[in-house]
Amino acid sequence: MSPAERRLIHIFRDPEIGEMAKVAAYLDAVMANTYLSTAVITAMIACLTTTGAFLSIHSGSPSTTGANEIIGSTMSGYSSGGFTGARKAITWAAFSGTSQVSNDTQTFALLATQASGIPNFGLWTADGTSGGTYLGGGTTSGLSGSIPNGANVIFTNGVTLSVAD
Amino acid sequence: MGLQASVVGVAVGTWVLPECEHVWSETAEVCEKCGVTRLELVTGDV
Repeated sequence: MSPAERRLIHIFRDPEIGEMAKVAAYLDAVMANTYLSTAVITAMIACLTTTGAFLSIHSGSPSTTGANEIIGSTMSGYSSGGFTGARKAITWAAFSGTSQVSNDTQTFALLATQASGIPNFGLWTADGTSGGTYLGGGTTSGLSGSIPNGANVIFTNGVTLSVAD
Repeated sequence: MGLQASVVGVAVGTWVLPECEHVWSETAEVCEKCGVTRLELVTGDV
């Protein structure tokens, strides 16, 4: 008997599960467990989705401050380039499992080429015409490589917020 | 303490170029808005 098998004191009624447990023991696997209730996990995401009603696009990491935002033509601080208008309103489907997904479309009409693509997004409390508070953000997919001036950058049910262990 | 979790966000996007209403240069060979040439339009090589 191997050391891993010796550690398996419990005898499983279902032999298949027993074999899975042996494999897990060999790998020193540990079950992921956040020790948090669904209610708390839901509340964490709701902090963003109930007040984070506006989507931004970023040329680099927004970090914890909303940095590297691509500024729209009607936003405060605009000088040139960017996109037409301001941050776009976003709505959300009901929380499901451990994630929540947007359920509408946001379109950003670029006024300048984004040579390095749009690698990040952000969520804000306001559209940016007179400020707003940055809530959080993340990475994008499908928007790498140069995106030309005049392109419409589109997110359709595209934003997913998930709780990770 | 065992409490640990973080919120991870991902945005899936795409981009498209609206169809250009070409404005031809004086030589009528190059669109002044998008840069496509008449030859490219004819051959479909755009």
